[in-house]
Amino acid sequence: MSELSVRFAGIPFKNPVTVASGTFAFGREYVDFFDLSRLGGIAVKGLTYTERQGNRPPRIAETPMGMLNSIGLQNPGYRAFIETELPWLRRFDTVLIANITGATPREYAEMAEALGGAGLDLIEINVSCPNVKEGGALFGASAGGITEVVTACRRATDAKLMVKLSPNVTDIAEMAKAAEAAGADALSLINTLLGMRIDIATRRPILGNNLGGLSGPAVRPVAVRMVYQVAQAVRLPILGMGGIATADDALEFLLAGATAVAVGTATIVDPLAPIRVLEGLERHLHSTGESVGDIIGAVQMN
Amino acid sequence: MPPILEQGTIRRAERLCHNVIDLRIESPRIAREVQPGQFVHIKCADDLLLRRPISVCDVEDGQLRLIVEVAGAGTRWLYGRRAGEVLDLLGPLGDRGFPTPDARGGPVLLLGGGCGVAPLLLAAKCSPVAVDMVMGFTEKCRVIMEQDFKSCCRSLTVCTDDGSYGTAGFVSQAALRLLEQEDYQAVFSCGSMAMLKSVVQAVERADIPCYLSLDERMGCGLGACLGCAVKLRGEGGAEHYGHVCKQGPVFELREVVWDV
Repeated sequence: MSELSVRFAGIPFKNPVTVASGTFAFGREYVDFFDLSRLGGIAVKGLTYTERQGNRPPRIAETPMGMLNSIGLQNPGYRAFIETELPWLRRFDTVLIANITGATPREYAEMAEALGGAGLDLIEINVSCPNVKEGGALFGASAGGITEVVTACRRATDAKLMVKLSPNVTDIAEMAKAAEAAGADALSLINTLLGMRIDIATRRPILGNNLGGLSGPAVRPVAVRMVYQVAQAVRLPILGMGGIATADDALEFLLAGATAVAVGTATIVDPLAPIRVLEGLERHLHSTGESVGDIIGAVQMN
Repeated sequence: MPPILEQGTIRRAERLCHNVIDLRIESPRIAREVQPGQFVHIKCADDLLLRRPISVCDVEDGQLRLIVEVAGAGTRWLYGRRAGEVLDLLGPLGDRGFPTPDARGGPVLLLGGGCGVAPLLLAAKCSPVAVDMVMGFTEKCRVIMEQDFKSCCRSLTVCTDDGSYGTAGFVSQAALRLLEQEDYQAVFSCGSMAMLKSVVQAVERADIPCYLSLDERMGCGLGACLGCAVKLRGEGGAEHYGHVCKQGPVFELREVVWDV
């Protein structure tokens, strides 16, 4: 088992397989399927300063080997999370990752401070949700915006900060450098790619919110490319995600330079997907005799 | 009851009419637990990412009976299945199906449109009181499951929009006539959104509970991804988004906010 463990931003993970924010709620729906303590980490549903009801339906549209979503961060607010969900989640022996989206740098900072104070291992700063109008992706769309939010959070807490980067930018490496310079401890990527589907009969977008974020296997090559580019540009550890459904997919991200991975949309299809990825990874390492660390960033370019 | 992942072998696949198939699937663990109105979430073709939610029509001898009408790529794949093939099932899902009628209360009125008649069969079979069924279809060649309902309902009214079979007109019109004659304890309904809205208009005036099985584009089926949102009215009248997969798929009509 030990060959699976990694250190990520100084935090020991028993294995590099986590579940991505927004695809796992607060974990309660999955205890019927497997022991959550088997996961390397759990990124909980995106939290906002106050409760949000989310966007009007339809919120989901299938695409070729992918899906568009426009949930719109429906969540009870970060205080309710700390009071009602966190005590329950603590029973599991896994790294807990909060995910926060603020309308202003100040909201981000207050949430980071409170969640750090509540003992969260890692705080994922979401500057890349494409489905909310205020804040979120607006900050992630420019290096200046990222600097502003990360600086505010860094001042507010000593907790480990991980910035979730948007793929909807011209040069993701520039965004990664801005996060590193502002004091981030880690990066996670990619969030969803902004997309749209149109119902040709009604001539209207399928999603109630018109646009949505694309995820699933369809985005995987884009995500692997971005993880590689970011890994070349910064020294921060990377939590790689984007369409991971199998151990082979996870290995691609590790080879590209990710230290850990997150399974997201695959869990929506198969509740056991994170465990299948983990077990497949275990088998692979057993067969090659390597540890996870041997694989991270081991891609040999042509 | 926690949801179960089960590989179910199709024992019978019978075409009921164009684009509608009747599947009997060996799935003993799910079949043992399923309640009227609940659904199973089915993985379709390898190149289709998301599962498809299908209401359970009936259970018998460890087999699930599902009626599937082609509405898109997933249901088209299901329509092409044959006996002997295996389906990846997740179920039973939905915290609330159709409620069990009060054994000491009046009869129950069931209103189904098209393939929406399917989940009403299990509700009819499980009812401790008499049920009257009204089923509506666009035309004669679309009529399905008439014998199934005849054998378990006190009365059966078949409507067609064009009058080519049974009573001419909509389910809601036949429902209005029955609601005037009989003291029902509840109405259960399932069908297209257009049909449900006409049912809502017909039943709203009668002061009895009306339970509707809703459909929405769905992700996980477990209440985690929050995809299949439906606008609900809470206790104090405040509106909020619930989720068809978890809080439903059956809702009382007065708790649903009907956006036009």
